[in-house]
Amino acid sequence: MRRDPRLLAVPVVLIVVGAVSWAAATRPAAGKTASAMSAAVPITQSTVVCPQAGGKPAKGVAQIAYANADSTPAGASASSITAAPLDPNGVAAAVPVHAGQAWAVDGPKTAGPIAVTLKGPIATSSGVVQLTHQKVGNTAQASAAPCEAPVTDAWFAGFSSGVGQHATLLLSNIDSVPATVDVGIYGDTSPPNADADHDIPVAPQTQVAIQLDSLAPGLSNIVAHVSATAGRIVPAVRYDAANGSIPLGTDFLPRTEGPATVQTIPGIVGGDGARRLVLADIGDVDATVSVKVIDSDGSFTPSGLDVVSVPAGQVATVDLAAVVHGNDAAVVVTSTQPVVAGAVAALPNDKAGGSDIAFSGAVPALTGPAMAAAGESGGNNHTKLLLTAPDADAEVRLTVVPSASASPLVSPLTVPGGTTTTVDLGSLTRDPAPAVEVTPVGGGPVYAAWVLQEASKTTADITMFPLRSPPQSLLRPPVLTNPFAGLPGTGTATPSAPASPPATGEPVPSSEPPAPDLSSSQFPSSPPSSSQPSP
Amino acid sequence: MTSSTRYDQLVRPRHVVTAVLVAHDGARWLPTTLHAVRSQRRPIQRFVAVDTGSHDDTRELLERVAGAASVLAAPRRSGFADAAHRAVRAFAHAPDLAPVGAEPGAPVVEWIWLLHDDSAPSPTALELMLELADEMPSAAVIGPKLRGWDNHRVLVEVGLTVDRGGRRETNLEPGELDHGQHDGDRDVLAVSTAGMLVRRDVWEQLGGLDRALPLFRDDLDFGWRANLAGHRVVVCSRAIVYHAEAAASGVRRLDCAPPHPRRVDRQAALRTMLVNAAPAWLLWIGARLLLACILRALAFVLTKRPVDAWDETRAAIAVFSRPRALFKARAARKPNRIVRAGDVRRLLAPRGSRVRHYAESISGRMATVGAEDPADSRGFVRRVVSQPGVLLVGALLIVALIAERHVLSGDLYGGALLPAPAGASDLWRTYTEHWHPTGFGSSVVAPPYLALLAIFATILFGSAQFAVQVLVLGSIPLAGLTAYIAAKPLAATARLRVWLAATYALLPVATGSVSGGRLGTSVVVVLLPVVLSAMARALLPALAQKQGGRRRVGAASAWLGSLVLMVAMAFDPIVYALLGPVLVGALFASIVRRSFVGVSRALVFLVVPPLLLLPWTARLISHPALIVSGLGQSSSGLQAPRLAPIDVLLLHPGGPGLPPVWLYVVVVLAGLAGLVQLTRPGPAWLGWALALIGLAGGLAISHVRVDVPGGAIGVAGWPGTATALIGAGVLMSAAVAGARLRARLATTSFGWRQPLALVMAAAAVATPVAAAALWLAHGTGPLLRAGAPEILPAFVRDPSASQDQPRTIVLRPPTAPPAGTTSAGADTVSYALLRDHSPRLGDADLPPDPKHVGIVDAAVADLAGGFGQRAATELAHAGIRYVLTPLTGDGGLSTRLGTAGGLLPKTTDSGWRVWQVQANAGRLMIATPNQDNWQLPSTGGAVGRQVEPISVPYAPVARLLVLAEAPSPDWRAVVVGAARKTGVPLASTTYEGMQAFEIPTAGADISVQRAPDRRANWLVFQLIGLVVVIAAAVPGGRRSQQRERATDAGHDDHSGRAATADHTVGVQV
Repeated sequence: MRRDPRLLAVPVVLIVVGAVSWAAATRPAAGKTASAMSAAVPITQSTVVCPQAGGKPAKGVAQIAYANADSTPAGASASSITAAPLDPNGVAAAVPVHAGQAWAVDGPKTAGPIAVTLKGPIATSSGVVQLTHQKVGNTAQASAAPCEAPVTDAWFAGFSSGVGQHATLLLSNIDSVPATVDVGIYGDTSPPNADADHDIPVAPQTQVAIQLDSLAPGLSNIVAHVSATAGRIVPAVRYDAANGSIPLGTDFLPRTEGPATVQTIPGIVGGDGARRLVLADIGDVDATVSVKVIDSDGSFTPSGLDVVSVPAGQVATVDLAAVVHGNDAAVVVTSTQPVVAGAVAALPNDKAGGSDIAFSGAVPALTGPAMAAAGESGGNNHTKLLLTAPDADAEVRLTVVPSASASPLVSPLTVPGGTTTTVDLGSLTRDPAPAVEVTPVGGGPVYAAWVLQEASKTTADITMFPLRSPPQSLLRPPVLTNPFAGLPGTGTATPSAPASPPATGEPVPSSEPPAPDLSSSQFPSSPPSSSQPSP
Repeated sequence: MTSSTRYDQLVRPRHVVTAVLVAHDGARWLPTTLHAVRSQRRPIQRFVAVDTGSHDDTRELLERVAGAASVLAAPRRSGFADAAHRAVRAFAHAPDLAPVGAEPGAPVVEWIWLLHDDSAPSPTALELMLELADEMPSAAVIGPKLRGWDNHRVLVEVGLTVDRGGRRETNLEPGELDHGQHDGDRDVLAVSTAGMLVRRDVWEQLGGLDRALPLFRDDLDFGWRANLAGHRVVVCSRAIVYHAEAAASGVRRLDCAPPHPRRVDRQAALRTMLVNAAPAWLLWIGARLLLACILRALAFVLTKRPVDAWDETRAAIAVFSRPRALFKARAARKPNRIVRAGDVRRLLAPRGSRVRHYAESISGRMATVGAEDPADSRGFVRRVVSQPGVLLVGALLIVALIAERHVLSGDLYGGALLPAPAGASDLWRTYTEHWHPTGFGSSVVAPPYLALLAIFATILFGSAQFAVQVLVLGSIPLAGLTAYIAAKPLAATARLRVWLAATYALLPVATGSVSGGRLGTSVVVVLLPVVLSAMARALLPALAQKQGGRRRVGAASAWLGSLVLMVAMAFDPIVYALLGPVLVGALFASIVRRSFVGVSRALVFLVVPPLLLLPWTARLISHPALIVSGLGQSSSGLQAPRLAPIDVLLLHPGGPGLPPVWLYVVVVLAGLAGLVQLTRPGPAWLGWALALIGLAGGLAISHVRVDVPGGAIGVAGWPGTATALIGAGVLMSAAVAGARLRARLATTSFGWRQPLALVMAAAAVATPVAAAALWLAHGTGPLLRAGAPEILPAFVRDPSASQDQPRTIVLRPPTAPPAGTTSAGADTVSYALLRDHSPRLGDADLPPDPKHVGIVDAAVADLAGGFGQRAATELAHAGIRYVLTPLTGDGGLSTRLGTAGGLLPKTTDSGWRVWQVQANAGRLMIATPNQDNWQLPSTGGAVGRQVEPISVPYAPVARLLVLAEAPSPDWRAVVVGAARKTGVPLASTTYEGMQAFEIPTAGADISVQRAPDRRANWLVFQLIGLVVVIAAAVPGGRRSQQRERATDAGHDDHSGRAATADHTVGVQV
């Protein structure tokens, strides 16, 4: 008897069902190989520029303050610091390395830019600050400026160009190729001048000084944009104001963040005197800004500051003194258009009519250790940290690095969410010149500003800068050769989210555009697969 | 004489007509012929018949009608001319017949009317021809219009002429029907001897037919001579003779000549031309004919018709080796040659008539593809256009053009497709060169699809871009065409065949491979029906017999199929891996059946493709990942990261440009329905065997993750070709169900089956329509682009500006992968390394040395990571001078690069920011290892034969000439110039992973080149192999078929019907 040929369908269906269900059961995960991970490579060398170190005591002197949080002798012996005048013929001098200490070194006899090269573990465990005591009138006023690595784009906010007010832009080029720089000026009463001075050549290994006040005289609030169209530069702005021989203040302006719709400015220092928020809308559309103040009690938007109008291409100011009521605070600016923001703090006039001024700027939240050297404590000198956690509670670790041979003092701290916490280093240590390192440990984002206040019987000085976390490591991304990479449209979509940090114990600065604060960086030669993420 | 009583009614009384009938084994036709001769309205006065030794009852038939006295006997071997002469001689001395009924004293005109035993004149034929003779007294030779014996409507001849090559020309299409389109009495070069009416005095003057032409061309020769002698040869289209052409069609055996009709025909043709040609042109015509003979013989050899080639050669030898006979014949003709040759030449076929004839016959054959009714009287164009196949392909073409509207103009690229180079020559060069100047440089074997594409592009007037456009954009109509042709044995009705072809052509893999720029899969989808159908014809003899033996069956099919499989394998190697099990199965089945033919054919399929593709096949074996990943493998992100296995079954390979997964579920179900049919389940079983193999392959491919050499890491395979195979198999099975659909609906008693079948049929019909509509709506998707894909700025491409041959890197920052696709890693920076041009088709399939890639990878990782100075040094040492980053959407890359240093922003150019590496960078650098000093050579610095050598001066340190290429012993640096040590090769070494040479301290002029390897030998091997396979694949000679038919005809009395349709020019009696 012949079998029905239709029965063949049964094994066929069985085979199909079996094969498909077997394949479904053993379906592999979407392929992602280990080599497709970024490798974090610790930075072992960095070069920073102190814009105006040295000088004679008669005219004011600038020291370079170093602090090294790494207290291990091995780390110190593996590290080296050299300081060289920024000059093609400059001779580098070795700077001693102290483990777990803060120390200061006098600059050369003539003031000028110094390039400091840090090699070894100290490249990421230290801070370098230039602390100037400059003669203005009869007194020497303090101004601190962190020595920074080259950038291609920088913003400065808050200085003015009235009578007796001078702002000098110092452009330092540490590379072996020339740099070309454009400067843009935005003022409160003038039309924007995005191209106030352009194609400024900065020869290799030299510094160029530009008088910003002469580019745009008579403005009371200025925001300046410095951008390198070729090469890299270390920009710094020194501001000094005097009424005849009466000093009205001097300080280096800290860099502030580029245009963004949300800016956080820490370091609205408490006490009497003027407090001013400077906002610049560099775009073509008027911005409406809401200003939130965060002080020790909490955060609030003062009435009238929820809708601040900033005309397109112009600078607007907000008087903060009336709303912070002498409290240490921070400000969060939320805008409809990208804005650049900065803050100015002036001390109340002393008996002679003199005053001092200090600047803060918008910074990103801390992503890693941020070291502030050049602290002074004891007597009438106070070094304070203004720590702000705008959102959630933030855990930070403060490491006070002593100026003498002693162990660094580590103290954990919680900054309550939505508040600003002030830490006076004098309450933590009796060291006369302590440095402090702020390390975010967990919780919400945290912003910090470092404030130094000196006082004598007749005068008072203030200087400050917001803290930025220099990158601890660089992310070496996985790369893939692909002939299609260059073809328009192929394989491209929207820019991706920033790369996620490697899974390590400590956060590393990976989610930011890496290396804005870094010059040439070297690392031990090793293929990406074998390099270890930073500790 | 038997009909003398009818002389009273004689019309055309001044004429005397003697009919001469030559018969040879003609009993089949003679009764009709004789009856026709006797029924002439204008009777003949005398009748002479010649029987050339017939074996049948021809003689009896003749004697019964004409009387024994009028029937002459001739030897069996005598030709027509011989017999005619014999007949005319027989009555030469007979008393003249008086024209009965004419007025006394009127001039008498005597005629000879030549007739064949298979030519039946219509009753009025003679009367009308004589009427013409009265109207046109100068007409000395008059011919009737010949029509078919069986089909009286078919035209056979209306006068004859000859073309310059000696071929007989009737100016008729094969099987042309008589609508009076050729009517009208006119002068011609010659008329056929069947029904030829010759004035007797002219016959005598010219010496009658040439006896040296026993069978062929005697009519042409006679007509030509008559014309040259100043007599008019006229065709009388009013007079009709029905002619069976029994000898020409092979129905009747020939005995008067050697059994080689072709040889006799060619010999006669040559002789006719040579003896009648004008004296001034004789040498030229002779040389031309000789050359034509040689070429034709060669063509026969190539098309595997050795007998024909031999006939051709023998004919030429026979004619040209006896010049004396020719000159004797010419001398005999000379007295009658009174007309200028030029006056006769206008009667010859015009130049190019042969080409036109071939073109017409080809177009005619194409028109009959699928046309079953030869009697279809519609116009040619309408007939072609209304073919279902033509309509289908046209519709698919329109759908494709609309769906691809955005990518029709400009170079095609995107997805897995790199832009094609400008010309076919670039493809040829890439294929033949032994070292490829891709970005990195590559010494791997060029993939053979480049050569095949180059062949195609050469045919398309050298445009490689157009070739790619045709293959990618035209793949769906082309797939429809091949599927339609291949589906013929499967589909009982044209409607089913159209459905099968449309469904196959619109399979998700077809639209998907267009959207993904998958050139390889596109070609395979087009070729797969051809391969499968060739495999079926070669390996399934039972199936071939069912087709009635009308198609080429057998060895040639196997060779042709293997050739197509080779092409498909070159474009996508997975197709061989998928069909391999089928072929191995066929091999074992043949072994079991002890079928030597089957074994050899299966072996041809199995062995030829990989052998022809050597040495690339060896590369496939050593890098199996290539089999999975296919062409353009460097691009990932074109397929679904985790394809569900059910998708493979539902013919959905994943990736862009696909219809929804469920769309083809009905087709798979229809395939299952084919499996449960009781009648003719063979195709269903075969189809499911293919489908199961395709399913296994597809599941395997989508399971693995492969690292492609020099390309993507951990990519999933794309089961496109596998789903095409599943689709083809399922459709084979569905065809069985479709064929039974009507019967199922009609016969079984009503139940649940009819509605189910009806619903399924409706859904199945809707499937290709929906697929086409979806494709039209969605277009080709975001990947495939058209435009100008040159990305390098002009100053980078300009050789004078970059004589150091520096390279460029294009950085592509991490991108979010498109939805539904995967990429190697979300934070991966991809880059392309380029020389002096943008990437081209084939570059992705020429992977570089992995160590070299590692060096550049490290430099790019440093660059993208922000290690500016270090990266710049590394890049410079790798010969990279420029870096391109996108102006928009670079994720902060430009800021990072600028801040890190080492690169100088140089300019922006068409969407790219161009950076220059700060350090010196060139392809050749002089390195001083101890001092870590790298310098560009001060002069030149180029590599190659055509460029100036570089000049290195004296220096008292050990120096290396570093070539920024992967180290290889094939790199040679030789001292050239006037120095004493000319020609000395420099010691080869490596430095920082690059090829380096030790420079003599004294300095030298150094030329750096790549030495050739054995690539040329492989190419010769491939060429020979290809020629051999093509020769084997060319269908065998028609000659042998004709013989078969002739043999068949002996047993089949009705085969004469086919004869008229197969009217063969040049072989005719």
